[in-house]
Amino acid sequence: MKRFGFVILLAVCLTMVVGVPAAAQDGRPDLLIWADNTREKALTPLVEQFSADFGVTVRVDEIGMGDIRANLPVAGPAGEGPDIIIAAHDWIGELVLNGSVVPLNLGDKAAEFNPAALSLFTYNGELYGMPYAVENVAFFRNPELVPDAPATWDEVKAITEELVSSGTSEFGYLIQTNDAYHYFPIMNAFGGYVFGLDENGNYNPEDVGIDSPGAIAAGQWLQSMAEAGYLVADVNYDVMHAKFEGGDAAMIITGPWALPRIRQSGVPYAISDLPAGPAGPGKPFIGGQGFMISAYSPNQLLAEAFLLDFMANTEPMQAMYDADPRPPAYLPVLESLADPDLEAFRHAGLVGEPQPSIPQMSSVWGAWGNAQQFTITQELDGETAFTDAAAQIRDLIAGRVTGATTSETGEYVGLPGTIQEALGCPGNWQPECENTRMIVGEDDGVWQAAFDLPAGSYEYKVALNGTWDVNYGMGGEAGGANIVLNLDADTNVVFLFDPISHWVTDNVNSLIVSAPGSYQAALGCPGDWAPDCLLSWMQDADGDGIYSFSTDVLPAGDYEVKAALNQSWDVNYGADGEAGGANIPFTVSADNEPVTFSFDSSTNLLTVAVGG
Amino acid sequence: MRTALARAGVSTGAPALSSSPVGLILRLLALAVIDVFALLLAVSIGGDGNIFLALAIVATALIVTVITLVPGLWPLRWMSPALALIVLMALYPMFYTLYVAFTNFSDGHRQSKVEVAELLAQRTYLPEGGTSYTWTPFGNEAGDSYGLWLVDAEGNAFFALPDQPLQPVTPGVSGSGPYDEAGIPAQMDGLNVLQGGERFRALTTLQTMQFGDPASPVGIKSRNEAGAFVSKWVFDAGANTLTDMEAGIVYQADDSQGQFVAPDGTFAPVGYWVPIGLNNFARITGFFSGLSNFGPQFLTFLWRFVAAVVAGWGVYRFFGKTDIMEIWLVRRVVVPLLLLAVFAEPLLNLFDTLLPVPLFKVFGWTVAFALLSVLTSFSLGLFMALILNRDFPGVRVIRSLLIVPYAIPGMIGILIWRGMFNSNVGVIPATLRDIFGSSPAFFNDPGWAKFMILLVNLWFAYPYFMLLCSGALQSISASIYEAAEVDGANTWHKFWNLTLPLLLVAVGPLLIASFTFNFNNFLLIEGLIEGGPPIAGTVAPPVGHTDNLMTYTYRFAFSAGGTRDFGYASAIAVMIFLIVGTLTLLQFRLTRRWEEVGENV
Repeated sequence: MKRFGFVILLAVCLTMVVGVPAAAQDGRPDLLIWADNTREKALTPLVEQFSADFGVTVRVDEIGMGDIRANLPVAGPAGEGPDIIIAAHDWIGELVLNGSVVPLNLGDKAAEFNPAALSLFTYNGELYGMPYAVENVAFFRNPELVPDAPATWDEVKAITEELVSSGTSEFGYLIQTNDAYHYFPIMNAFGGYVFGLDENGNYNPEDVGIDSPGAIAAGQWLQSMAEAGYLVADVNYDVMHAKFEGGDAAMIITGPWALPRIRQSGVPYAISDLPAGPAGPGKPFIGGQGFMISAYSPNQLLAEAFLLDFMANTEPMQAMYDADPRPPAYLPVLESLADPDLEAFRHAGLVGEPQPSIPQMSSVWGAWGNAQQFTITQELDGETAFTDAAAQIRDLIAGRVTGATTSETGEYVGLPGTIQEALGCPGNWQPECENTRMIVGEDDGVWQAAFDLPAGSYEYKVALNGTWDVNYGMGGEAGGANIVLNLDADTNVVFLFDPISHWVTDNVNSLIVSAPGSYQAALGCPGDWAPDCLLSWMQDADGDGIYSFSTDVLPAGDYEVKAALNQSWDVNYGADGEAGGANIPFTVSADNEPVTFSFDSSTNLLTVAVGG
Repeated sequence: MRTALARAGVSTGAPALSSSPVGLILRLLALAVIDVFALLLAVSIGGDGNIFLALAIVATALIVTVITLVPGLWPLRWMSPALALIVLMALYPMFYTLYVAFTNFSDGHRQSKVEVAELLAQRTYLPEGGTSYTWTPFGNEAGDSYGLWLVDAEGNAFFALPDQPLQPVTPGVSGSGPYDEAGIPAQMDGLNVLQGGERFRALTTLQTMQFGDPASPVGIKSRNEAGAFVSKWVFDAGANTLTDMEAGIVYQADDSQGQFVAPDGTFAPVGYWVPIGLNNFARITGFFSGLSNFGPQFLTFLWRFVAAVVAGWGVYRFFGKTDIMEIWLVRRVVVPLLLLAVFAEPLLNLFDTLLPVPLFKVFGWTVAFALLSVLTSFSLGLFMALILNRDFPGVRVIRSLLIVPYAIPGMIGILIWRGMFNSNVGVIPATLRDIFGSSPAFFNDPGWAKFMILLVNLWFAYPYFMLLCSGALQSISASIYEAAEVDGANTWHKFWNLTLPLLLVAVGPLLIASFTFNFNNFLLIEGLIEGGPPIAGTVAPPVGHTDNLMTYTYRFAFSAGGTRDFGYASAIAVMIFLIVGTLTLLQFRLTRRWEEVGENV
């Protein structure tokens, strides 16, 4: 009985293993297209017509835009991918990196396309897609509130001020809180940029311009708008549109994709070029939508013929436009459209810049938008916000994701020298080696590092930002001599660097003496009597054994002070140079009188000199 | 009891297999269908290069087959769907994630070396001196013979057939039939010019065909080009090199980083995936970099902590038995204050140094969110259940209505809440402004953002606990309460000493499940607020005040370098699994304590 069962099992298995795949193969059409919801609706009747006319089966699968991009490199190698995808031009960098798309030769058809659109789809000198639409944002205004288009962003601000203060409308110009795409024309008008260009005219990911002077200036404009209360937080795309369409916002930046909803709302609108700034016209990002051919497709020639011989004609391109009214890249359709709105968009885009399609661009959006949000919520000022964002973006592009805070890494101070190999660096004298990095004290701004070093003789310096460009040596001199460190036994050495005096030292070559006292809070220390607050660090740059520190920020009053070694109370000296001795009193008779503390290391005597 | 069941299982199971021939055949048929399905799937998936998934599927099918066919395992058959699903949906993804964590699988390294070599081999170029032609296809009606009418850049025309030298032709003269404007005939050598649908249908075949002299065959490269194109990239598996034939550059495959490297250090256009050992985990040190910087501070804290404990213990030993501890003020105020003073300073120091590190903020919020969400939704659910546990008019309708939030799909509900809390168009801030004159910035103030998240979570989660508690309350016997009343217990006593402990026995494990779920709650945080508002002044990656470990991982893994790095993301996921796993283990110990409570009652 059991054996019989196995035989049945085996027989059924075998028939099905052989039979089912053969049957399944028939399901695949000659051409498979992946398109999102909107384009799928436009394409389906077109491909039905194509199939009927030419006897080639074509199927359009509806896939979300994001999924098309993500799934092509997964489904393609598995033999289940499409032959043609609908794509945005800025995916090219990533798709090329994965080898997922093939170049396309438009031949004589190239002349029928908007050259700007073709350049969007060109990556490393090769064309990777057939565009069907180009798009860019433009400046919308409500002509009942703003009769004339403002020419500059300062005018935008002035009009906003007038509208809001007179109570004519709730908002003048309104921008999304965290959306760098719509912010780019403003930043650009002030001279900011995202990526600089290399010698070949390609975007250079090494040159991030989010904190360029122009970008900072734009950030400050944004800040001034926020401070005046003209820009508010928590505005997303829908809020921005709701306000404009309800007549509560007089001016916004938006794209042709928003035309249907604005027209439907019935609000009066006028479209114009983006206002200019000190650096020239506001340039929008130009983006493109088009078709690309999968590198995994077995029917690439047929796919190409479908695009060039069928799609690249007036009727299909018109149908694509009707389904999704973005300015066509196919010139015959563009020229046949007498739509003043599209013409206005085209005009605003004449000065535009192609939105970068290099993969590094995806590292930019998040941090850039956050900077905009920080500025609008006034959590940070415009300058800090965009400077921080640029630092984040550079780290992301370089793959340095540390999850630390800027107070630790905003500036980089390293200890290049012969100590480095002993501390696990790959070599000596490497300013960029992370192992000998110093950490800045939050309260006193003094950079410190402590390392266990074996006995021996060493040399070192301090170098900033991981390069030799700025370095300090003996006596805190820029570019000065190496500091020699001789250790008789294995020692835990503390290194210190004062970013203001640039004094570099360690606790072997010199004493680390501070002057804790009842005056320290006035210096900016977290409290009084703090030996570890190095704002009262007594320094000895010339190495004569006299350590001193001066200040002129103390308010008039009576104070007490002691000297303490190594940032702790373990060893401290009071009156008469006595270890653990009495506090040393001193009096500041007038506010901001200069006070100098001196510590003589031979006598352990701390003296306080008040007044000139 | 257990042995009795087992005996019952054997005694009923074994005969079941041979009870009726029809039943057996049906069962075997069902098994055959399942196995065939699994095999097909495995073959298809394995053929696509995903060996691991294929193996997992085969293993699953094997488990099911063995369970069905071995009489001793017969009782397990009811478990087999669950076992199969565990293998496929839990074990396989876990092991695969673990495996990916040790590879460089990422954008630019998505395929194996051989696959990349195949992909690149498709790319062709025209060797120097080669001619590029425009082409027009010809074919016969049977579709088994094709020719090409070729025109080079100078306008010279040729006719090409497979395995025959190109034959010079004259437009408008050669061939027969009506000529088109370029002089291409309708017929040539017995083949018809292919147009319209015939042309389209022939393209798939034409793409693979070669024409002309077999020594330098002409193939079709694109709609506009034909010629003696050859492969640009040639992979030599023996030498492990990839050669760019056009530029004459040999790229050596570097299997440690999954790139083909040219002598000048540049990479071939596409890299491949390779195991890279612990590299991803070494990169995670960035994730924990906060810790390494604070090693010394942590040690200081540790020894102060130990010292304080020792000192505290000494003080207690010395004074604990003395009269002074009998004074309420000393016992309840002075000693705690002293302890606080001892501990507070090092603790605050430690927090001061740790708190700016985003990982700690994120971890703290993750734990706080998980705890608070369970606490709030359980409390509210229990409260509702207690109220609805009595009979009053409309109780059934109300109970049904209260379950509605549970039935709404998560993402839809989240989006509705997102709109309602929007400070410009939302109904909640508008109402608050009407009443109080101002409204908190729910999306921009970290504290209010967290409050909002907890509130929205409460809305989604309380019906679940309400349902659970309603059921559990039914099971508590009324006689216990009667006994308690006899002992003089009031309502509060009854709730606190009877209802809650008994309820926790039943609901406790579910509370833990809920905690674990909320620990990993990606949807709510990402859907409602995307981890915002961002924390100012963080280094890459951008992180928000409400990011939990899951969303933080997501940002860490998918925002660096502009590409998706699955290997790195997997490595972080493995680390998080270790954290969550440890926490879950600890919780299970806690459950055991609840169970003990249950046994005592």
